[in-house]
Amino acid sequence: MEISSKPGTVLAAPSLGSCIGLGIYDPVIKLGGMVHVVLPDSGKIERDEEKPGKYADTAIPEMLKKMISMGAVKSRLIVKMAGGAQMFNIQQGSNILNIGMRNTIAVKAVLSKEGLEIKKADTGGNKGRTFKLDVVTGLFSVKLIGQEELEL
Amino acid sequence: MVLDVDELINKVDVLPHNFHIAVKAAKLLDDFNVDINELSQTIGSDQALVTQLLKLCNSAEYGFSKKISSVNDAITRLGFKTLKSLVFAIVSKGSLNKKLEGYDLDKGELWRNSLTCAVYSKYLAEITKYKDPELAFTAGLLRDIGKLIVHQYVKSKYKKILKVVESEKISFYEAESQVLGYNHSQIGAKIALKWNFPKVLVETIEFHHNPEIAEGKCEDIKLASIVHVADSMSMMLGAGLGNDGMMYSMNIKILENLGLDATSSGIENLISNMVDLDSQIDSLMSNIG
Repeated sequence: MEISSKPGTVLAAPSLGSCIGLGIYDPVIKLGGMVHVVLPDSGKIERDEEKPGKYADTAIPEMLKKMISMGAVKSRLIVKMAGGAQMFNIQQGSNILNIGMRNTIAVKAVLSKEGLEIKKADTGGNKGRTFKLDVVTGLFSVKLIGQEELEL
Repeated sequence: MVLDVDELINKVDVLPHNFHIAVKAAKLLDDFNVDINELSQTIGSDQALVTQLLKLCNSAEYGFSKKISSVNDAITRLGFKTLKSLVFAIVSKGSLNKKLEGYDLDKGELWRNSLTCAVYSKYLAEITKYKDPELAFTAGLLRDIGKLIVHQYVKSKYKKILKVVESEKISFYEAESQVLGYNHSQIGAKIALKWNFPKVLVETIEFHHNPEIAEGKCEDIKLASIVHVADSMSMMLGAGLGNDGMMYSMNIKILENLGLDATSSGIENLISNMVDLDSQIDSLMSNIG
């Protein structure tokens, strides 16, 4: 999880496979946040000491809280996400390995609970991605491996 | 132009210089009656290797309070198995830390991906009580050496391979086979054979995508299964993904065969634990220089 308003900073979630990069931006104070969601639900994890940064249900509220404490205003926030790819050729009828899709659904659910909407998303498929947010311009970009970087 | 497998293997360079030492050291280390002096001399014949080895085994990862200052010292304190896997890790960097245009991997990406698979393999070996976690590390590290050669041919046929993946709903390496007449695991095994790698590594490299068909062709199916799962997990977690992306499949049955919890929460717990190994991977990246 990374939050910054420092000019020149490009927040990045590199090498996203089934993970999701979620970028949140307040254009007025030029504050950006990027979180790398690995898994949908911390409740399924059988350990006590957990870093909140890994899971959709803990990482997103945590990042929002921090951004708001730094002056961000919820109604101004621009939210975009990328990632959530899947292993190819998952055996029929099995969604056990559909971590990418479950991450995507979980991120959307958490955001909706927070009263936020996703403005744009590039998720699914079976290719890796890198997702970036330039905190000065507020430009989000996504690069599918093997392809050109595009604005999201 | 597509070459046949034999022509292709003929084009593979002779064993990179320092791999000679790793393979020789591995053979010595496998010998129950190993002569420590001979082993020490073998490793010591490559000064760069010695420097790297001492740097790595003195890194925080191994946590020795007293500094390891010589090869002999390293042999006695690390133990044979760890020593062997470290020697392989160090000598592999020269080969694996390369840009592979055909898979759209920048310099460093195959290296990170290989170290990730190595660390995950070792972890899986430990939790499934496999007899030699250090061997699992080495097998995971080297499983994709075939990509070093095959990438040149993937480059010219990439669009066609992708088309076959999409039209026939098969994995990338199956499509490689169809379009090129061979795939990176097959070629990897042939390179490993040419480079005189121990048989167990040759077989693991060959069957890391499909341990389910290895019965009778591979002595250590458990090791091939461990590397299969580690390979899939390193893809899912995005470590050094190329343009073949996640166009591979993981066989859930293999997880069950290893005695791992193959329910969705079991897999999520596994992933959660594996992500925590990232600091180990970073440490290896920075300590093998």
